[in-house]
Amino acid sequence: MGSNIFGVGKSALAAAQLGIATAGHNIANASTPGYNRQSIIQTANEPQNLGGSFIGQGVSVTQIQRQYNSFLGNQVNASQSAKNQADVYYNQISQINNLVADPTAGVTPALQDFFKAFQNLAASPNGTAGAAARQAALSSAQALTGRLNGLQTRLDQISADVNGQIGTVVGSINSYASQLANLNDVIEKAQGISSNSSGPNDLLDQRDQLVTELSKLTKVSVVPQGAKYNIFIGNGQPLVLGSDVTKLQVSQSLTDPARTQVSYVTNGTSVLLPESSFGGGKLGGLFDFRASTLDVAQNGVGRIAIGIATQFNDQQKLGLDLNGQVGGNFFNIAGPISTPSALNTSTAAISASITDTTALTTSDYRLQFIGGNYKLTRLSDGVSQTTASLPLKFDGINFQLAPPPAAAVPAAGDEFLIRPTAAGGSSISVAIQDPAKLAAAAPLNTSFPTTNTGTGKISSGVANSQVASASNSATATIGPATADNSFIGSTLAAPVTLTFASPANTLTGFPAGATVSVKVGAVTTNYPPPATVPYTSGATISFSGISFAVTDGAAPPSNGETFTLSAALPVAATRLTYNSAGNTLTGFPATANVTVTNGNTSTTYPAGTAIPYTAGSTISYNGISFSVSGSPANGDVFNVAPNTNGSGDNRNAVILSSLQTQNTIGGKTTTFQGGYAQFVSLVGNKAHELEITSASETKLLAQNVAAQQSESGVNLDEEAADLLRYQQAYQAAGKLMQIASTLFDSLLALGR
Amino acid sequence: MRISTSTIYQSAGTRISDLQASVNKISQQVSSGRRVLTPADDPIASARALVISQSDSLNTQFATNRQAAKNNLSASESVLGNVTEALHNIKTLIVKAGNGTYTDTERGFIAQELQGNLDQLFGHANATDGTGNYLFSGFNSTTAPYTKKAGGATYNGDLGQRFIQADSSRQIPLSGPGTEIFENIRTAPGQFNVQPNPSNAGLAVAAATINVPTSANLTGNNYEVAFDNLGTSFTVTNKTTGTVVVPLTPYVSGAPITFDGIDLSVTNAVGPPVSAPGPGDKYTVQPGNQNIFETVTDIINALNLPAGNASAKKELTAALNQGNNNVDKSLNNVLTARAKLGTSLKEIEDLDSEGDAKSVAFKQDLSALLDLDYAKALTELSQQQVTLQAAQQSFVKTSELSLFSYIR
Repeated sequence: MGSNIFGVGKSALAAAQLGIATAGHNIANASTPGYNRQSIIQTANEPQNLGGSFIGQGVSVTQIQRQYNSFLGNQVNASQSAKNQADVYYNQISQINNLVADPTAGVTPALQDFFKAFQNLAASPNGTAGAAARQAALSSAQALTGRLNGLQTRLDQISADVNGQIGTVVGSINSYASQLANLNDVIEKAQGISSNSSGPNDLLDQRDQLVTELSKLTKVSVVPQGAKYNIFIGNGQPLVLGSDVTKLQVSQSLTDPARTQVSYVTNGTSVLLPESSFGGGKLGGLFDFRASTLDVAQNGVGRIAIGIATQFNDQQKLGLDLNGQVGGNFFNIAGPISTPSALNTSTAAISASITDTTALTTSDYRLQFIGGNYKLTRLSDGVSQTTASLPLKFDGINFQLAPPPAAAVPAAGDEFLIRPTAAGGSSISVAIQDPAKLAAAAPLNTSFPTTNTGTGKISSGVANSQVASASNSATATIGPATADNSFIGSTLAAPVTLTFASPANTLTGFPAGATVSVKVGAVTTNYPPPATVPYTSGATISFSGISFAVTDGAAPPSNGETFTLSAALPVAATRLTYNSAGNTLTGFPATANVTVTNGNTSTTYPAGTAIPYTAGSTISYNGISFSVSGSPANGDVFNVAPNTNGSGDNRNAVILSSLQTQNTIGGKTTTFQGGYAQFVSLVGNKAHELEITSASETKLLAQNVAAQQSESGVNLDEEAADLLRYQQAYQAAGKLMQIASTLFDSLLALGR
Repeated sequence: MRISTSTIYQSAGTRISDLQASVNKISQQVSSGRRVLTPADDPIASARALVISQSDSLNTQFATNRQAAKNNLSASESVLGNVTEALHNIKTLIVKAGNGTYTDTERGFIAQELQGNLDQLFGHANATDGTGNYLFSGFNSTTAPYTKKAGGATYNGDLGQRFIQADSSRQIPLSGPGTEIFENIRTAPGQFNVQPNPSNAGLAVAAATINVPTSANLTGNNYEVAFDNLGTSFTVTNKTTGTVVVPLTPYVSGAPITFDGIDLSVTNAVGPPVSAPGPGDKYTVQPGNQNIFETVTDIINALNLPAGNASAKKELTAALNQGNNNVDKSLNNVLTARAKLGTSLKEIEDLDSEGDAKSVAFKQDLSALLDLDYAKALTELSQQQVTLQAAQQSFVKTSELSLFSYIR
């Protein structure tokens, strides 16, 4: 009897002691990260059957249970991933956001000052005020390029920083992966020797905490297998399988050595993981930021730089500087960057050039050679175009194979990355140092002598193309030739003479090495050098950045007739005479095909023809145009001459400064400033969106953590109550022992 | 609901730091006066602000351009005012010189006075703007537009006219070329003004046209065709330089002779009565288009010739009449040019007031987009401060509550 009471008391003391110890453990770990509250599970011992009645045998603690809900745990992990992704993205984009924040700093004021300087130049192109205006124009151009360079440098730094962070994150992921594999082992062993089904609680807590930490870095999914966790990251890439770890490593992108990507090692070879496969956590945020904001921002800045530089250079080349020379490049600017993939098996290279800055996008492009065709993909939206031969014109860029010694044709599966605008912002610089080299004047001068008796007047005229076209054909005509942004003046250092052959019906004589594209309707055909191009009346023929059309007149051209392309400047001196008998103008250069534009109608006349006079119509030939108006009298003369001494001429400066308000970017939808505003708005909108996303993900995480803590967290008041409860239980059990002892003493006293 | 102790601390911490962040943001806004601190605060407003700031800056630049144009135009206008005055003087002198009672000496004085006026005109035509650029030489603004020569002056400029962007859609012309102001005095409908001498005995008609192949030799000088005493041969003299350009040549009716880029022919008048040139008949050949310097020089030359006999008097009267007509035409040209300047100046004034209005509108737009409403911000600031204090106090109170405090 007494021994039974002692037994019961002892079991109660032990249970109470365990209860106090567990409460103490809870209190001790109240602020340990990842700790889950533990509690004891008490069960009454199996009763003793004493002749039909069962006598209680006290209590025992069957289990120390941790209060863990894997569903809530997974929710916390998922929102950790989402929150960290948004946070990292937001932190990164904030740097750009702050960079472009101030309307009084940044590119805007530099851009405005630049154009102001050109307006002032237009107001006083020469003299003392002119010297100051020219210097101011140069200085403000330097300030503008400085700002663009600075902005690009900062973006490059951010890009390098992103690469570094990717490395750090990958290091941490590997470290967590090893720890998780170890814990898997330890837990399995501990579980094996313990008969207790609840397992080693604190080790389990540690493992779950590691999973949570890993979730902050990337998206994680956990598949338990026995006592072990299998961990998959991103889109299902196994990271930890039991006690095996697949290590990740940092490697270079195949097409861009400056771009860090993540790969995993299997059987000694590393396999690149696509950037999009990390859908969360810091890693996901970094990749997302780089692809959707940083690349676009860099290209956006580059596009503005390329737009300004190219448009200015082209207009500068249509003007005359203070020394009477044809203007040269005003800005230096780098062209597209084209890199072959490291996996390419041929040495083929793609040379891309910008033909139309107004059509540029902020995207990069991928060119693949698949099944004998070239497939060009715009990376921003995946729009692609397939062609059997290069060159291919797309979005204002001309993609063509680089000339030898690179292999002429790529091998199947070869891939190239073309970044048209990436180098724009960092490469732009002012090309001229001498303020006199600003081409403020127009290259031609028009006049009429005082001996004219009619009221005819000739307009000042402008140069509108760097390329002049001429022909000796009596019947067919060559229309005005246009030079696109990829045209280089040296192409026409010597005139290019194309000869028509009949009955072969072809044109030959294109420069060596030039691929010729002929566009008939919507179909473009490429002819590799040495090109013999079939003649189609009215087809657009392009090579080396020059485009023109040869059209049948009264009849097709005759065998041996030539069509010549030459540099438009300097302008040839021309003396036009009005003849009242036929109401015509004569005296144009012998081989010039004159185009008369009246309203929307243009007519090109064969060389040597008298040109019908219509007052006010625009007369163009050899890359220049002007108009004659009024009623000239018979024999009246109009002179067109090179501008030799027009130092006070501001015509080109006015055109240059008007570029500020012209829609020259994004498919001619906006101005340079508008393009910059688009860039700022893109950054601002994304930053704003992420600020909100980050805040809401933080709220969501807080709620999930609160829900999880509500079940698993330690409440000190509760533990205090438990302490009191178990203390009293202990005291009561002690009292039981005392009573049992007293009972025993009474029994002993009976024998005295 | 069960609350864990760490949740109590964590949520209080988060709440307080959130409140501090928003107090910090508002105080940043208050101290900078700007509602939009970074583009993220209001992406649409910041992008719009960039575009408007460009319009604003352009508007300011157009005002600067207009000021430059105004300076240039005012300078031209004041010079042309002086030119008008000089032309009026010249006209008065011409009328005065027509007085038949004047002696050769008195006419000589008038010629002297006219020479003074001519020099004045010449100075005006070569006027410069404030920066040393010539006003009337077209694009060629570092070269003086007119240089003196025998018989007048030559124009060295070109026909260019500088335009300046005075508003987004309006270019205003600056100085015009001197040809429009000082030249363009049409003396005859044809290429040359060929006049028979008023004392001619014959009725033969002289005509002159440009000889296109040699048109480069044109001089712009005055010529005189003079028949010999028999009326059968003639010489041509460049009256401006005094050199004989065609020596004595037999007269053939209608046969052209070419000199200095001119095809000249004298033709018998178609009868009846058929008339050949008389003995001593003269014809003057002048360019059909004169400048004012040539006109005034011609008048001075005419006044300096002795006018003793009747035929000389007739010649003088004809020369004065023509001179008077030419000066009138020149005055017309100058007044037209001044009218253009006046219109441009008026337009600049209009554009100025429009620009000022725009500037105010742009500033208002920018302010509305980016600037802070202080009343609202300060109210919000004090509200946030109160909330922050309350949060802090409530946290202190809550954290004091612990069962352990009661376990003794």
